[in-house]
Amino acid sequence: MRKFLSLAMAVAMLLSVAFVLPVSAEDAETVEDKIVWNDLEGKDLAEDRIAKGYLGSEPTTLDPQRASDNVAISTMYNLYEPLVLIHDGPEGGTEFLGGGAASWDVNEEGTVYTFHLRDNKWWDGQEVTAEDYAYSLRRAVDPATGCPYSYMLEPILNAEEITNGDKDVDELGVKVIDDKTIEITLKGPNATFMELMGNSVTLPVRKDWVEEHGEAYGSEAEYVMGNGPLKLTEWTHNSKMVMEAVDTYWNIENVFFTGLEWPILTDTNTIMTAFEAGEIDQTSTNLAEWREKFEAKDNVIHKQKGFPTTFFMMFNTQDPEGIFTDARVRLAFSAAIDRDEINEVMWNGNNLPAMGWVAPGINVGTINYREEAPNFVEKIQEDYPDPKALLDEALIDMGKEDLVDNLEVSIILGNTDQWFKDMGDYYQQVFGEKLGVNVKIEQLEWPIFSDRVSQGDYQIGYMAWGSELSEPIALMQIHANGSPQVGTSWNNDEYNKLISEAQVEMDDQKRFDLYVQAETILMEEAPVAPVVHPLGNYYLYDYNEGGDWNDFGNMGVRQGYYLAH
Amino acid sequence: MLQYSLKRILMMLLTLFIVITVTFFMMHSIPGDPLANMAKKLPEATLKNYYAKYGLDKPVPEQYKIFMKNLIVEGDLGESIAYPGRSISRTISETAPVSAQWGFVSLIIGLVIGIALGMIAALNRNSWPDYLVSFIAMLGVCLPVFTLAALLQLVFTLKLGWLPSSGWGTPAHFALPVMASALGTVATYARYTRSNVLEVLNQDYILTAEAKGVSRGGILTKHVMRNAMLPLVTMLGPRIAAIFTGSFLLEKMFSIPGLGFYFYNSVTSRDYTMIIGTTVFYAALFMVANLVVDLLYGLIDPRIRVGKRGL
Amino acid sequence: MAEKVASMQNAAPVSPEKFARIPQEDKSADFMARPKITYWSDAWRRFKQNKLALVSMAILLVIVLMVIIVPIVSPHDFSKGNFRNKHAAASAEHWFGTDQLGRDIFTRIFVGGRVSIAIGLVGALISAVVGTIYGAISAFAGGRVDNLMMRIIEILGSIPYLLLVILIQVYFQERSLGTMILALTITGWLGSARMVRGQLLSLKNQDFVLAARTLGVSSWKTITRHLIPNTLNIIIIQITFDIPGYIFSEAFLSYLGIGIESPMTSWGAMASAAQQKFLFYPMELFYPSLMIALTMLTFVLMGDGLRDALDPRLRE
Repeated sequence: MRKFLSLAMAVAMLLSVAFVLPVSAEDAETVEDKIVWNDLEGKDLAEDRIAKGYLGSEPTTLDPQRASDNVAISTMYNLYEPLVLIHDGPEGGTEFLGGGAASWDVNEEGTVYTFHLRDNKWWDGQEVTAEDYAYSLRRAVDPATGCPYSYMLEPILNAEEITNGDKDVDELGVKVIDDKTIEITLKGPNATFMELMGNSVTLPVRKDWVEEHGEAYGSEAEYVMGNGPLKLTEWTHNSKMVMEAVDTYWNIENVFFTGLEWPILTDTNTIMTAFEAGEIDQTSTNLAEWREKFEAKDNVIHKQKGFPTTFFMMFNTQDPEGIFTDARVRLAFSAAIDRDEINEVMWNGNNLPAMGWVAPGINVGTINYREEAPNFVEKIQEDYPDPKALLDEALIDMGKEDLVDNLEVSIILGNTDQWFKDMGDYYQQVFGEKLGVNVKIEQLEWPIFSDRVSQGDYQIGYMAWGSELSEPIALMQIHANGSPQVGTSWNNDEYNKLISEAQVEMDDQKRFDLYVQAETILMEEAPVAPVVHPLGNYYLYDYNEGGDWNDFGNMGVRQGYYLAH
Repeated sequence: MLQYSLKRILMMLLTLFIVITVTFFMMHSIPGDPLANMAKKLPEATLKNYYAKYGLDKPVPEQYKIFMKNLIVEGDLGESIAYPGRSISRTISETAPVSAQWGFVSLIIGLVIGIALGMIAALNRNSWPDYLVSFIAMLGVCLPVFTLAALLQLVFTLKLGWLPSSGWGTPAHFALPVMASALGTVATYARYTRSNVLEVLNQDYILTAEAKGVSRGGILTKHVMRNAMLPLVTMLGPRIAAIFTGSFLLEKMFSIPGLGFYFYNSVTSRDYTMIIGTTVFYAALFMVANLVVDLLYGLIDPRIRVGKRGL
Repeated sequence: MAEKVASMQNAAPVSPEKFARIPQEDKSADFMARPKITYWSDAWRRFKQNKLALVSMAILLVIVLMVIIVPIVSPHDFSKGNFRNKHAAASAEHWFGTDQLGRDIFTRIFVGGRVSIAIGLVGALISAVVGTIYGAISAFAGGRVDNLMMRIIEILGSIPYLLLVILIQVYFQERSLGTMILALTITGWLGSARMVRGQLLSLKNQDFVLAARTLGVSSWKTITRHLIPNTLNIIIIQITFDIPGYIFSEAFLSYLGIGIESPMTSWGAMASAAQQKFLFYPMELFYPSLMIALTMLTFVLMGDGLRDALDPRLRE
C-alpha cells in the first residue's frame, strides 16, 4: 500500500529506471547460471557506460527496513539484491526471476517456501548467506526497528504478533536451513507472497554493519553495505549520488553500466532544462507544453505508462455537519464531476478518466480486472443526469430545506503546491455551477491534512492511493472494516464479508466475482468518488534502450544500456 | 570591553535557551508529526513502535526534559527523524559550509558592486547614472528569485551552453546561483549607499575637509565611506548569519547540497530534531553577528557606545 | 541716509509737540512678509518641485484607482474561468489573455493588486512605525533596556519563520488577508528596529543633539525635531524596500502553497503560478511582475523625492 502520491511523488516514483527485455522462464530455473537480461550482440553500444538518470527527491535513507519513500526504494534496488527479481513477462503480467535466490520450491499447501540462494558476494567480498536474508526479515518485523512497512510482512507466520509486541522476534516463520537455504513459513496460502519477496522491505542488510553503525546505517554513503550490482561511492545529500559497478556481483557480465551519476533534481524547470541540455537521459512530464516540445525532437522517444493508482475524492461519512452522512449527497458530488473535463483541464487529457475504484493494470490471476469489470462511474452519471436534483432531494429528506441552494461545504487538500491550488479552484467553480454549493478550499500541508482526516474533522478530502500488489486486494482492502486507512469512517458488513472471502479464495474467476460484487457496493455507497487513474509520459533520448516498465518491477538499472550516440 | 563581551555571551546562552524552549513547544503545538509525512495511515502497532523509538509517545514536557538533558549534558542535537540515522550536527557541519561558500561569494560580489553603484549614483545625483542604478536596483528587487534563476538557466545552459544547469563541486557551478542571488544584494546596498552618501556629503565636516584641500578620493574614502557605512553594517549582521543557512529556493533549483533545504523541509516534515538543530544554529549565528555589529559600531563611529544609558 | 542726518542737524531744536504717541495696538511691526514655514510644510513644498516624484505619485494613484475600479466594472468574474480557453493570448475580450484555468488575467491582476498593495503598504507601515518606535526606545533608553529589547529581537528573529506562519494559519484556521498580514509582519519589523536603533545610537552623541540638550530642549522635542528627521532617509528607504519585500514574502508563501487562500489571488501568487510555465507563456509572468515593479518604482522615486524634501540640510 503506497502512501499518498502527489503528482511530484508519482513522477519521482518512476525514476526507478527499470529496464527489461523479456527472458524465457527457464532461465530463472537454471541454478547458478547467469541470466542474459539483454542480448546486446551486434548492437552498436555507447562508449560511455555511466547512467545519467536522476532522482526526483532526496532519499530518506538507504536502509531497506527504514526507508519509506519511493525514491529511496528505487535507489536501493540497485544496491541490494532481492531474493526475487520482478519484471514484465513475455506475455504481459509479471514474471519472477531469480535474484538472490537461484530457485525456490513451495509445499503443496502453498504455505512453506524454500529459497536456494546462488553464490553472490557483498561489496567487500564476503559471501552472501541465508542468514543475511533471515536477519533482515526479522529486523523488519522487530518493533525496535521502527520499520514503516513492517505490516507488509504480515503473511509470514507470527509476523503480525511480533510487530504487535506479543511474540518474540525469534518466533518469526523464517528458518535458515544452511548457508544457502532459507525456509519461510506463511500463516496461510497467499497469492501475492512472491511479489513480497521482491519488495524493498525484504532487501538484505549485513548484521555486522547494522550493529557497527547503529542508527546511522543507511544515512551516508560510507554507512551502506550491499550485495547488488552497484556500489554507492558518493551521496551528497540533496545534490548527487554516484555508484560504481561491483565486479563480484553474480551477474555483472550482463550489467551494461559501469556506474551511475545521478543528480538529485526537485525543481520542474531545472529537470526540463537538464534534459534538454542532455545532462540526464530521461524525464517525465505531463505538462502539455513540455510534451509538445519534446515530441518535436527527433532524438527523443515518448513512452506512456499507467500507474495502478486511483486519484479520488473522499467523503467523511461521519460528517460532523451531517451533510455527507447521506449516500445520495456523496453520489451527487461524484456525479457532478465530469471526469473527461477535469482530465482535460487539470492533466491536459493525460490520465484515464476513472471507471471504478480499482485501477487499470491490476489483474486477478490472468483476468485483467478493469477490462472485465463494469464501468461504474459511467453508470452513476447515467443514473443521475441531474446531480443537483439528487442533492436537493437528500437535503429535503434530511430536513435541511434551508440549505438547498445555500449549502456550504469544505474541501481539504493535502498538498500546498500550485497545481493543487488550481485543482481546488477548479472544484470550487464546478461544484458552484453544477450543485449550487459554496465551496471553501483549504490547502493544507500533508501532516495537517492527515491529522484532520484521522480526527474526522473534514467534509471532502482528496487523495491518491496506489497499489503495491498486482491484485485488487491492496486497493479494496482499505475500505474494509471501517476503513481506518482512508478515514472515510465508512463501514459496510456486506463489503467486509466479500473482502475476507476474496482473500482466501484461490480460484481466479470466483475471486474476480467477489471483487466485482464488493466494488458495486462501494460505488453505490460512494464513500469515495474515483476521479482519474494517472498515466505518466516519459521522454527518453533514443540511445537510452531497454525498458521494463513494470509497475511492480525491482530491476533498477540492471538491464539498461546505451546505444552509440 | 572584555567584561561587556563576557556579559553578552552569558546573555546569548540565556537567549538561546529561550529560543529553544519557545520553538520546542511551538513545533509540538502544530498538528501532524514526522510519521504523518512519511506514509499513509499505518497499522496501530507499527505506529506505536515508531513513536516509541523516537520517544514521541511521551508527553511533550517529558520530551522537552529529555531533549534538554541530551543537549546540555552530552552536547548532542540528536538525529533526524525524517532522514533516519542522519546526525543533526553532521548535517549542519557538512551543509552550512556549502551554503556559506556560495553565499559568501555572492555577498561579496553584491556588496562591492552595490556599494560602488550607490556611490556613483550619489555623486551623479539626478543624472543618467543615478537613474540607471535606480533601474538596476528595481530589477533586482522586482524579479522573484525563482524567475531569475530559471531565466539564467535558460540563457546560460540552454541557449549558450556555457554552464551546467545545476549541481555542485566545480567553480562553474557557482556562477548561476551567485548571479541569481547577488542581484538582490546589489539592489539593496546600492540604494542604501546612495542615500547615506548623499546624507554625508551635506555634512559640515565634508565642507571643512574640502576647504582644507583634501582630495576628492581622500574625502570619499576617509570621510564619506566611513560615515555612510553604519546602516550597511547593521544590515550585514543578519545577512552574514543568513548565508550560512542558505537559500531554500536557490539551493533547490540548483541542487546545491546546502543547509537551506533543511530549514524549510524540517518544518513541513515535522522533523522535530532537525527543526531545533537548525534553529539553534541560526540563533547562535544571528546573536554572534549582532554582537559583532554592536562592536563594529564603536569602531566605525567612536561616538557610539553601546550599552550607555539615556541620551 | 547721510543727507537726512545732515538736514536734521540743520533743523530747529526739538520741541515736545513734535512727538506723537503711537497707538500700542499697532502690531504691524511684527508682520512677516512670508508665512512662517514649518519643517513639514517646507518639505511638502519642496516635494512638489520634484517632477519625478509627482509623476510617480500620479502613477501610483492610477494603479490604486484601477485596483479599486477594474474588479467592479470588469465583465469577467476573476474566479471563474472558461476551461476551454486556457492560456489564451491577449485579445479584445481578454486584454491580458487568460491563465491556466481560462480566467481573465486583466481582472485578476487588479483583484490581486488589492491583496498585494494592501500587504505591501500595511506591512511596510507597520514595520516602519513599530520598528521606529522600538528602535528609538531601545537606542535612547540604552543600558539594560536596550540590551533586553535587542535580545527580544534576537529571539523573535531566531524562531523558525515558517513555523510561526503555519502556527498562525492553524490557529486562525484561514489564510485571509488579515492573517497573511499578521504572519508577515509579526517578525517583519525587526530589521527596521535594528536599523533605526543603529542610526540613533550614532546620532544621539552628535554635536547638534548635545547642543539641543544644553539649551534645555526636552527629550521628546529632541527626538521629534532633531533625531527622527535625521533618520527619515533610512526609514524611507526601508519602506520602499519593505513594500516589494512584503509582496515577495507573500509570493514566497504562495510558492510554498501557504499564501493567500483561493479564490483570492495576489501578484505574488500569480507570478508563482506562472513561473512553472514561464518559458511558454512569459506574458503571464510578465504582467504581475510588471505591476510589482511599477509599484516598487513609484515608491522608490517618491521615496527619493521625500528623502530630499525632508533633509533639513538640502533646504534652500
